[in-house]
Amino acid sequence: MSIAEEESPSVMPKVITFLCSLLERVAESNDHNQHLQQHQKISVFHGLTRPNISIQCYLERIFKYANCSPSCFVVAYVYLDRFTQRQPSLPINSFNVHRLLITSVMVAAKFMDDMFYNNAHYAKVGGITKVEMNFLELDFLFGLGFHLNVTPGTFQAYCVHLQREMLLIQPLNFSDSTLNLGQSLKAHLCFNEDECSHQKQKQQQQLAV
Amino acid sequence: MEKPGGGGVLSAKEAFEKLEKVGEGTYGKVYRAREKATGKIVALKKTRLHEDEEGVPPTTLREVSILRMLSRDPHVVRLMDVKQGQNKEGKTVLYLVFEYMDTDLKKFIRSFRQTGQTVPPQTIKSLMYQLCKGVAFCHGHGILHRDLKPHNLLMDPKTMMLKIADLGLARAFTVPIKKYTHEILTLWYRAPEVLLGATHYSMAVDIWSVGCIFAELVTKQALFPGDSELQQLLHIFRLLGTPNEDVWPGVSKLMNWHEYPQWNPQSLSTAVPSLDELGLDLLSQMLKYEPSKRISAKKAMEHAYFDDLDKRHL
Repeated sequence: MSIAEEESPSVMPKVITFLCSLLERVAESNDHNQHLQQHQKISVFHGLTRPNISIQCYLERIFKYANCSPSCFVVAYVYLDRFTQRQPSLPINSFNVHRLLITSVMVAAKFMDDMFYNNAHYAKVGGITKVEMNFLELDFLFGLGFHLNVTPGTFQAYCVHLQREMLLIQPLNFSDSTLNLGQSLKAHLCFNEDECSHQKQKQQQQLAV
Repeated sequence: MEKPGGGGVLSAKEAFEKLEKVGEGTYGKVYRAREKATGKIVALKKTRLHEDEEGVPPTTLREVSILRMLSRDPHVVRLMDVKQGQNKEGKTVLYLVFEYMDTDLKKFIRSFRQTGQTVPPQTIKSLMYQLCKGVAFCHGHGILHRDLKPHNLLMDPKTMMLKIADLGLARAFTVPIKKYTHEILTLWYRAPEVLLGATHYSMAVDIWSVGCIFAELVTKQALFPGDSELQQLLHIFRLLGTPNEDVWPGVSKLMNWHEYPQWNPQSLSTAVPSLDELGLDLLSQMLKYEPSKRISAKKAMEHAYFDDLDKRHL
């Protein structure tokens, strides 16, 4: 399978499920810890109230209407992680997770895909105005320091992390080959073996911490 | 990178004095400017944001991101900073601050054409080696340039230093994605697989462009100056022969494949008569039809053509 080939459609909706599960737990955890964190900033990503739509429904909506490469969702996850590492005073919570999600997927699609929808389309999908979408995009890019490239090693490591999430959701089905995300994507990710193993090691050390 | 609303940081207007406009692209103008604090001359690429619909242009997004990663290589133009500002109408603009380079390879070749001189063979060799080195660096980091042409190769005519620029069409090719567009790259430097509609392509598209640039440095004329996709293919076929399944397995399955006029391959020396034997051998390996058979940038650097080149300062 060539490095540019698309993943099978049966695999990718699972990624949505795993990503959703992970973000729900992170947001919930940060909601609970909010009173302990004095240095939290309010950012352009914060809504005044919690959106009514669940993270699951929101992600499915983005998946349905964004029509971007399934890989974009893994890359969006990488961006969210980088963003929160670079902006420790802006942890993901239920007030900002939706805006962060729509922005990260849009930026991933713009960077990764040659054909993608414009900001106006993503604004509609995300239920926000075009003006707000553009503000969010700029803030997200500068917040990331425009660090958008994702190496195969990093991509693989984040797939492994999502795979762990799958274990939490579906511990009994782990051997099911259609769920084995790391395996099914492994064929794509052998551009630079040294980098892959080095990145993976580094990533797993970080995740272990 | 200056973050929006970054307090206490000078805006582009305050930090730079525009000296002259040196170019214009799809998304805005390029200025030669002076950094007020240091007196250093820089290139300022001003990017308009089409605020209502598109937001940050994908070319800008890719260029900044990719140059953040590649700018440390001496043969890739250095992106020094990105600043956010506002124009007279109060619209958001981004300023990309680059090191300033005096000229580009297109102007360099034109100057030789106008004076009727040939580019010295050792100069060609040095420039080609630097180009291969820069391309190898990009490819080694999983980046396809996809728009290599003389205009996008900046030069310092005093030191003969060459740098790859304009990575707006570049993209990462290391993660599985949807099909690539085949509407990339200026026609004259476009690889046959792209012209024939391949939707998945590789580093070999850049090597084809490098080969076309190599020939142009020698002859001071574009190797394949087509004015449409069809004419471009016919230019290629006339010199290299019409491809078939024997020389290029899978060619007839490509989206834009038709029955084309049949030409036999010519010797490359007919098109590039003043190039020596080793140069012709390297060029032929860069212009192989089958992408997987095309030489890599890294291998090209090891080619015997470059053996007599002093590489210490390159």
